[in-house]
Amino acid sequence: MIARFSLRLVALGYLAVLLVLPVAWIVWSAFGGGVDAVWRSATAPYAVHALLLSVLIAVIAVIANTVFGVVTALMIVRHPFPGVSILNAFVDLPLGLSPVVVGLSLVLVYGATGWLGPWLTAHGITVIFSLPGMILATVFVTLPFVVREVVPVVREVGSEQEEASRTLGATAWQTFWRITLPSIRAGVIYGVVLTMARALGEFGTVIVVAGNIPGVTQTLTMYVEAEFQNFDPRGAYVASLELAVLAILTLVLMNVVRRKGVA
Amino acid sequence: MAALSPAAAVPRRGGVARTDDAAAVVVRGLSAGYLSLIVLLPLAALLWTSTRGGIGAVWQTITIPTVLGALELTVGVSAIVVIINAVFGTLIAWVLVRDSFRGKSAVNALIDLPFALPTIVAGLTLLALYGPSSPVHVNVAYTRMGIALALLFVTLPFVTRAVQPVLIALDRDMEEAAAVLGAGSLAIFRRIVLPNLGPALLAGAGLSFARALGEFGAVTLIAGNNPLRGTQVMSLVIFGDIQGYQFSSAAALSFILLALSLAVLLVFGRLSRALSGHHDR
Amino acid sequence: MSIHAAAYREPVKGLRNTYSTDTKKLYMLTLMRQMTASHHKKNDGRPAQERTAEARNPARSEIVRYVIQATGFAVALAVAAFPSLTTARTAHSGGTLNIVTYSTPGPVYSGPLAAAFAKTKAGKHVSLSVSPGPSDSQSQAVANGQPADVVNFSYAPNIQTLVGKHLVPKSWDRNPYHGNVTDSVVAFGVRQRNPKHIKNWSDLLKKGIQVLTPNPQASGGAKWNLLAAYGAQRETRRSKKQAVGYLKKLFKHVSVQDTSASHELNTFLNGTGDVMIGYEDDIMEAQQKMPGKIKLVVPKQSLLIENPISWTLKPAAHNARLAKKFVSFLYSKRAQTIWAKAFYWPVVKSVARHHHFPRPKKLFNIRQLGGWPKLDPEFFGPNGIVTKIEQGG
Repeated sequence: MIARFSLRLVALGYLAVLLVLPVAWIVWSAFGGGVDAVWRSATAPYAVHALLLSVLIAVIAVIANTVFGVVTALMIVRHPFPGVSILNAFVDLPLGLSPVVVGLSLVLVYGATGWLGPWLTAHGITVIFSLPGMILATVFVTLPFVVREVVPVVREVGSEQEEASRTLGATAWQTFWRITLPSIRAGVIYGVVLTMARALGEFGTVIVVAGNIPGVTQTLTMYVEAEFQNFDPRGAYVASLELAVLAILTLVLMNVVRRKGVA
Repeated sequence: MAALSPAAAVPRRGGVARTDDAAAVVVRGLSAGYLSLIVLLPLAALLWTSTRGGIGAVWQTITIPTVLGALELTVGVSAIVVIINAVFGTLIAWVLVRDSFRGKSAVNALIDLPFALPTIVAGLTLLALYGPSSPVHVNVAYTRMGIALALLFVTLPFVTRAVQPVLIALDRDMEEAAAVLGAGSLAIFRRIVLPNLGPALLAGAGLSFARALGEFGAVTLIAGNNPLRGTQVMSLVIFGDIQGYQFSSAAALSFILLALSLAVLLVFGRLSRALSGHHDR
Repeated sequence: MSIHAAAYREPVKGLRNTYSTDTKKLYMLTLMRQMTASHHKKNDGRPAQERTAEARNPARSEIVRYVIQATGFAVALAVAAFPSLTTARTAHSGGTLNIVTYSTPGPVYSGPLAAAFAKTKAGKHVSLSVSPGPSDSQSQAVANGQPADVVNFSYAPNIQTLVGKHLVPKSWDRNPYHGNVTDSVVAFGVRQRNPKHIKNWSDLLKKGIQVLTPNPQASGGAKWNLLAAYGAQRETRRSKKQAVGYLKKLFKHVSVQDTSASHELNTFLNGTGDVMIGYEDDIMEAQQKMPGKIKLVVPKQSLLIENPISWTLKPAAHNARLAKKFVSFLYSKRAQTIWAKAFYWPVVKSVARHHHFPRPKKLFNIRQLGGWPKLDPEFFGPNGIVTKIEQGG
């Protein structure tokens, strides 16, 4: 009895110090000057721009990686080919990479001195220091999530329904849209939520790739760091609060979806 | 049921089969193309740049005393963090599965917070809470402890989430039998529960190790970035090189960091599989 | 039947009647058995009461639906805002100027200078996009493609790099001010009331003193600091060897090496370190904005800081004509007075006459030490003196 209670205490204490206190601190610091100050910080032009930019990049990354993820997951499970395990390994690769390493590798390809640099400059296309580069970077680091979450669901669900439906005359598209997708829906949603969260939280890679120009290439995470360094802790905490709220929303969604029965 | 499957009863029409194969090839090509463009091309550029000066250049970069120090620091602190995670992660998983109290589901959901919260926000708050202006008068900023703290935050969920499903699925019969025969709780845990958790624990530990090695956002504010005081982790050294536009040295160090992460994942993965092979669970 | 069943019913409905009714019935049975099987798989180990409790609580699916709708709305908002997302500034008919600077003068540009320029004929309806950062990085960024119409760096070699890349005209420094728009001096910032009694360079080496100076890898301010330390030793008749020895000892006292001068100031203001070395203008600004948190101390000997500026050439420049006008505006009496109010030393004599700043007893400049072209590689190059110290050698 004592053992159980003390175990619980230790576990909860550890979580309190590491997780709960920091989140509480964000809320506390953000509201330190009253709700008015929070509103003013949140509606500062650069802050609003940073938020919208973050959301835009995240949405694009989610769409791209969801399409890729669903298609690839189905392919890996249902139509494997020699070398599919290598594909699998490469898909998982971004999970183990440091953000600065990813950023550097992108600069080495698309930067002015990179592999495609001269070609891009000649055609007037800017990748580094602008939106396309930031989108590429975010797509890179969020690549694995949808695939990883959908693959086990596809395995679990099995392909009998699809086979049956095809045999009975439905076209490939009908089968995909009406049978496959609904059956893997939970895995897709879970993967999308993870992708969204990771994309919104991206910092290291985009700062290397895009140069952190306020009002132009500054995402909300970069805005947090910039405001902190520019002696505006309130601005930093309010932006952090926005990100924390989005994070908690993500947690709620993850929890709900997980309970509703990822296979 | 397979014998009853309609698919066995009706021959497949040739036209459909051929479209299927063509579609499959196109899909594979598109998939591989997307993957190559997004991931493989940049990594190839990284590999090429880092080895362009030959292994000699890489060796030269890595043997700069402060860089070597950063490497030692990164591996050392990450290892300690992994050990702490193994202990506390299992403990938390145990409490979440075997215990019950009000608000447990909220705590369970909270474990995923480090996955959802941006690393820079985590770093900022940890610096504010446990740095020079700490309201609880704990100042670990610009020290190894501060770096460890940041890494503990971002790697928190890995071990817990890896161990939880195993604990849930664990058959309690053996534990109950051991208890009836007079074994104490600690012995039961050590001899019966822990070996079953082994593979999952190792898998989670490997993931958290690899993550800790490369972490940047959470440590950038709380580490002192001072090569001479040993408060620069590898990701900060690489970032400094990138900022100073020394790409070859940055690439060389990135290569080393990447190789290290992959090695860690491979080793822990092997160990995990080996352990699960030895048990009949 | 659940939603899943409804989905499965569709293809069966669309069946061509090639198959016998028996086969169809058999198939339907199989499907139904499969669906009920997957339903029962939802046993995730929770006690039965919890599961049924949840089944009785449909509110959760409502939450999910609501959240998804809210997210959709946010997405629509973001996409609608897309056109304006390439810039935070509303479209200005006069054009935009990209200003790339070293870490400290950002606020002066975005604040009083922008306002004053808008009042001029050339500056009407012009908006400024200011990007501050560590000086070396900024210079390299422009060399690597970052758009810039005006560049204001911490020290001259950063401009020279761009001259080499044909992004800045060779004649950039051919004016009465040698291309510098502001000056300052390397000074110390200490805690209120100077509890450790730091007055001069030798005090930095006192036992236990923690010094802040940025990382010279990317920061221009760091280089000014270190050369000021070196120069002060030389000015007091120490030999080169002794001066370098001082630098080695100084590094032992450095606790944090931030990436830029402005980061360094922030770290000091947040409570770390006993003394920071930096731009006098930065420290005086902080003294004014945050009274009680920092106090300026000017050492007895120090180095004159000179910050160069230039307009750029294509392809970095998007608005070269306007950029030239802006640079000449920065030398106007109005602009130089604004700089002076921000604690920078104005370079235009008629303005400098009216503003007095704390000066060291002995002020030396970079040319007296040997000049940047010689000192930059000698101290900070790949085999540089400071580089070697930083590498632990």
